[in-house]
Amino acid sequence: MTESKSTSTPAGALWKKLTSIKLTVWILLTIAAAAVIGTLIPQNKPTVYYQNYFGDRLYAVLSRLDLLDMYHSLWFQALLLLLALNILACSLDRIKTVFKIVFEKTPSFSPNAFSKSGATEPVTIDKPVDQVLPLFRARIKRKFSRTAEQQADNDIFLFAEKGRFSRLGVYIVHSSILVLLAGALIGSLFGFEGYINLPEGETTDHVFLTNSDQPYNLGFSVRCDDFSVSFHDNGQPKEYRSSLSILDGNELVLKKDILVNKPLGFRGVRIFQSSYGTASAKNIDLTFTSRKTGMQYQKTVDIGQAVNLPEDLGKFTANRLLHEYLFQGKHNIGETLIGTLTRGDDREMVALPVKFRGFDKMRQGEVIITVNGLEPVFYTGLQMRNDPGVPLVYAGFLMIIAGIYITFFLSHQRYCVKLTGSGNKTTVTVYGKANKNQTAARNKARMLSHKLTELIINTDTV
Amino acid sequence: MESAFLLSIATFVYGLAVVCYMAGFSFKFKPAEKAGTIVTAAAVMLNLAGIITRWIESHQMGIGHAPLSNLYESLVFFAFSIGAIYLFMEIKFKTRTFGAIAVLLAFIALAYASLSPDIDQQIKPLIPALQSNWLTAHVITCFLGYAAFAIAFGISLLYIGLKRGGDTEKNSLAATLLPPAEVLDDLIYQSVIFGFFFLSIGIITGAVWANTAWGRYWGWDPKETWSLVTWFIYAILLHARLVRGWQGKTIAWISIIGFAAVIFTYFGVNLLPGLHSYQ
Ligand code: HEM
Repeated sequence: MTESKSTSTPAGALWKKLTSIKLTVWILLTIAAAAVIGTLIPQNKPTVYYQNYFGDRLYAVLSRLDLLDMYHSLWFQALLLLLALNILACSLDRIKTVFKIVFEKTPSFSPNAFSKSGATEPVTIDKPVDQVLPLFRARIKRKFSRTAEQQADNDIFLFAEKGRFSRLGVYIVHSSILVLLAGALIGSLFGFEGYINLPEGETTDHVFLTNSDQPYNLGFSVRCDDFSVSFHDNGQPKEYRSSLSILDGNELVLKKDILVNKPLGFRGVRIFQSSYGTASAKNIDLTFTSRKTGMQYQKTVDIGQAVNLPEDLGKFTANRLLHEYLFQGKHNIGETLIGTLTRGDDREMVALPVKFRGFDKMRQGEVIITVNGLEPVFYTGLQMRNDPGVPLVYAGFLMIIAGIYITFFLSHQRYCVKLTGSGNKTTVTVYGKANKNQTAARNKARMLSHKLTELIINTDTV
Repeated sequence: MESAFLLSIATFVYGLAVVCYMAGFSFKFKPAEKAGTIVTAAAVMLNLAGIITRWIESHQMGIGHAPLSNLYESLVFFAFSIGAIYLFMEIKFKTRTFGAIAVLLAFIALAYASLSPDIDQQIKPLIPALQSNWLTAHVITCFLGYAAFAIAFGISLLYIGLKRGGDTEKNSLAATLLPPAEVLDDLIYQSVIFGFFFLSIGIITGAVWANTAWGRYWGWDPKETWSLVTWFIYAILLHARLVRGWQGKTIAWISIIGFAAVIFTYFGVNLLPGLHSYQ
């Protein structure tokens, strides 16, 4: 059918284009070039980043060309689609011919199909043909999946063949790429990817989607019971561990610790350890020094709590613990406790860096506050994903490996052994032919010739 | 460290093997070439011994892991792969003509690992993301692939050199010393298919690992992207040869370009931000 399509019709011309290897090369080159650009321009950064980096003008251009979220852009996906069409068309175009060869019931062997280029040097044996033939025949039947025999004039031809199915290897590789793309498509259509920063002790029933920051309802709840991080002696992180509980309604259904590389799976959603940080603090040990009397008072608070101070100094509330803080908008003073000091109608915000103890003196207030220590309350950064395309993708992976192996390391080999008898002598010539690598085919023909003649010599000595 | 000592001897022995092959090749002196094979085999064994010793050392330090986790260790394994694959090809294809250039590449990789002041040789514990068996499978297969491509690159250089000499004067030095162009051409093809097979497995094991560590099998991270680009270049080479029947110079050039992509995937990507950069 496909062969009969003429290139003179538009459809035929299009088909010809689609099945050409030239198109394949161009698509692969274009995807490669695009992908390279994508590694040079950082992808999916906030707008501000690009404006600083490229300036407003260039940013507008790049953004218009979809170069900032390239791998998800329409044009990039169109390229992938074209690749898929190319492979599909190419395979359909060829498959009929290949199937004919592979699934042929009665292969027609003909001496003319073998060229001189695959022939070995003729070897002459001191035995008549009728003694040589049965030995050869038995040997060839044992080693090859299909054999045949023909007689013409003075010559007897033994045909042998194996590895016919290796011709399908290319199609396995090519269809694996279609399977991979299908898996990726399914994943992007029906899967989700989200994140949540979950403080120790807290529970969530949703995550925020990575590409839109919209909340996404999980259908169950996750509680972080504990987070811990341990370090090697040289300060390198050794292990991040979150102890999680999965709750269905109020019922505990699963308790498990997750590590990087050891995620947890529940109802198709996989939960990954991805980051951590300090969410807040408890048992914050504070000293309040009265400027007037010089008296010092020790107090312990948790984030969110307030304490009343003596000497009519007012009330202190511990609001938040920040990982870093820019004092007066420019000096980074590291981990900082933010609190509010209330005295009558006066409310004052105070920033108390954990590392600099005397810092609060600068404020010149009635009370000087120092943080002596605190217990951090961690949050664990969880990634959650559901990707229903993964099984297909993994199937594609296996197909690629198997397909490449079959394509390159097996071949469809055909041999023709010609026996020419003259009196008490037989001349043996082996012709080899393979669907690729003719040099190897000739070498193998040589080996076969060698093995066969050895057969005769061995029976001689017995 | 014992392993560092073993590996510096291995570097030296690779160098010696190059000298043997060169001597045998230039003076058409067979025994020197044969010595080249034996010396290369010794260097490969020493290289392997160095890798195993380093593994044991990491266990003695209480942070045991396969020595495949940073730039130094990967270069050491790269050198080993080049040596081992070269020996395999020498036996399989029964030619020693590309011994000098192939073993030279192993020598360069190992010398660079041992001598460059920029490369940290210390055994360090694995950061959590690297604590996975997939890492081992991924690095081994990728570097077997890279090594085969390195050998293809070496032969391509020889081939192009041969063609240069051969075109101008029929009996140029290169033309008399080297095997016929068809043999080199076939060797390029054979090493590329070997490399392509392993690079494919390397990319796939990397994807499976990424899926267990981060829940995504592909994220267009620069290293992933560049390895795909490399894969495409070699796929183009194979199609040009198998479908179009291109041979010779064009294939040699594509193989050189492909190896440039390999080198960029390996070193250049560290200049770009991403998960993979080995510090
Ligand atoms: C990356 C995506 C790939 C695309 C888009 C692609 C596409 C194509 C196309 C269009 C052809 C021409 C078909 C024809 O003219 O009959 C072809 C042929 C071929 N491809 Fe691929 N291919 C890809 C990957 C591979 C891979 C990875 C291999 C390695 C095993 C491979 C091996 C072959 C072979 C051996 C042929 C010749 C088939 C024949 O002679 O029938 N292809 N490919």
